[in-house]
Amino acid sequence: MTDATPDQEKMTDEVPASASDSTADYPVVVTEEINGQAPAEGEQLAAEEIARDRAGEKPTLEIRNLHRFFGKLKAVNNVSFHTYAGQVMGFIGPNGAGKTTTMRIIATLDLPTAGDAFVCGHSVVDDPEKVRRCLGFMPDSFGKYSNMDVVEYLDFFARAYGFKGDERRDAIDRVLVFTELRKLADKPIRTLSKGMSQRLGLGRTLIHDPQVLILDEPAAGLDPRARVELRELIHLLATEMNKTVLISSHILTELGEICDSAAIIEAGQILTHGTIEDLKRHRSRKTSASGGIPLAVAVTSRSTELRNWLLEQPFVSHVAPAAHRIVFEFAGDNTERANLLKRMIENGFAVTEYAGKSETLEDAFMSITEGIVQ
Amino acid sequence: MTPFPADSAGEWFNLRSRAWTDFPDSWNPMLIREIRRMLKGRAFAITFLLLLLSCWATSFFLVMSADLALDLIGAGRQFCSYFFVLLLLPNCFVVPLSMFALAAEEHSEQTLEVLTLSTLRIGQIFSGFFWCGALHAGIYYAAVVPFICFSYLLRGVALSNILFALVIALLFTAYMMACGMMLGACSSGPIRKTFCVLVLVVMGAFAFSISSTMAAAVVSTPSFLEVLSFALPSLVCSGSILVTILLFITGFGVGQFRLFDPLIAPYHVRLDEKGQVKRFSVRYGRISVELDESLRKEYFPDPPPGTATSPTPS
Repeated sequence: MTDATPDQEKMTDEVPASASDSTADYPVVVTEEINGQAPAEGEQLAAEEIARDRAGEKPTLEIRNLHRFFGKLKAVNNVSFHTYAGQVMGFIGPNGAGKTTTMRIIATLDLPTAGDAFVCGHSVVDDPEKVRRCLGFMPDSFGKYSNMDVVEYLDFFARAYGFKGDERRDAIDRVLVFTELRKLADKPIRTLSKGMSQRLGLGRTLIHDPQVLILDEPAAGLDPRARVELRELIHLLATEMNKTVLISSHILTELGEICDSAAIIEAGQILTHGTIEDLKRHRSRKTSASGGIPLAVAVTSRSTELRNWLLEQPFVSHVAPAAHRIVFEFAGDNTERANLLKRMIENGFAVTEYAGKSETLEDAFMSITEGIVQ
Repeated sequence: MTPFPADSAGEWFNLRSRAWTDFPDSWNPMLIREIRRMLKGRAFAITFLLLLLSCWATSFFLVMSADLALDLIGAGRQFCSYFFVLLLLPNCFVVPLSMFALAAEEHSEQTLEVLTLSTLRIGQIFSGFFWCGALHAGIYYAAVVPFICFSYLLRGVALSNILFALVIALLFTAYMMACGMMLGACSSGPIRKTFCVLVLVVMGAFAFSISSTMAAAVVSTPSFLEVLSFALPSLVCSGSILVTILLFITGFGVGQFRLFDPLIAPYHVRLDEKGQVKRFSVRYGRISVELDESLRKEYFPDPPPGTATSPTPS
């Protein structure tokens, strides 16, 4: 796609070709302070990542100050993050946030206006050919040639990646085994279900055994069973094969379960980046800064009465019903929290559940993003 | 390279499908793919059968209508002319349109991107298409050439004239194949695709009229020297115009397959480790040029902030 011009070759000599040349100045994770409260957990994570850097482990995927402008539209505006081998990273954002553009740049299908991305230490600007050898990209909608069987499709891509003879046959067989498409090897592609087609797409992405996988909306349109199966495959890729996976999806519950970390992007800019737990805590801290911790209470009956009663209690605010529970924010300490439960029971409410409301990635996403459309 | 947890590598192929996958490794993957698809499709077989039937029907009609006992020489020339027309018809329309469909499919099916990510070079992709078209055309030639030989046996047409006419047919076939392939590569959207199909049909009609007229004239002229005197200048004249058109289409088509994005700014900004603008360079030019400061300010009014996520941990 991008033949390196002599100019580019010259520039290559002037700047470090690989992100791995420097390890001390990586942007790490969300370490910002919210209302003066130091995020202890975030610091713990940052320390862990610094420890990895110190141990000499280089990120397999690093995005550094990436920009991509379409005329005046800043589709990607100074995006930076990185991830390591064996990690699954979620890339979350509303439609038009710049996810696919970023992924296409990483996959060497587009060029950044400024900045760079490094895959296994190779620059997408300077060494796109090397990047392609260690990267597998599964676009959100990938074409399937008509009049081809599953095995022919894989055979074509194995040949396209330069595999020959037994090496090619073994590569196809390994992919068929891994994606569990062996029984469907003779089937025409057009007869495959959506889930099986996605498996085939994943198989095609894996045919040359890349170290880094970029999956753009792989679970879109899949039924729950196919989603779970795909999730298990992705989990296997990271844990057993030590691959780095960057995955974008709108199904945040799915991402929350398979990802080690996530970056949230909106209007071309990364809003936050960290582990899933860290992002959830980010939301919790924001909530507490606005008045209290979120609590949920469930009762067998008289829920409307309980809502009104809660509104009259000290330290309680933002009372709202939510899925057979009543959620509210509580600004008191643990003693006050215990007293509130005691008073509830004394007032005759049959409490079946009384707990801190668990934060989800969806909550964090809604809290962090503002719905900006460029 | 990390290993897959394979339990029986190679077994499946050894048992069932080795024959299918044993096309030589040296063959172009695109060609192998298209041979497999061609063998499964019906369009090619139907066209081939229609061509064969047309040849038989033409032979039958001409034998019935001509007085072979009185004018054997005239009948041979007439037969040969008709068979060349029949040969050029699919090679100026069917083969280019199938090549067009092949190349356009890479756009419409969104397979071009995954194809470009492989180690296939753009030249391999196009040569794969071309050899596939050549195979397609070759089989049409195999259907018609026996009939041309039959017309030679009727006498009246010199072998040199037939060979020259075949060269003309081959040149126009190759030309139309290249046009079909490149116009297919250009057709990245529905409107553009419709326009390209129209252009291809017009070009096909143009090429068909020129080539069939030339071939008929060549086989109808008794002296080979006379053939050379009018056919060579005609070939050079028409060829120069047609090749110019082809080069223009090729430039555009190859550009489309290279995923060249006309929206991208033709320069690249080098940033240093802290995200500060280090250097502006013309990306596609051969000479590095520092760009105007006003342009830099337009896109980067101030040095970009450190990183979007967070400051570097101390």
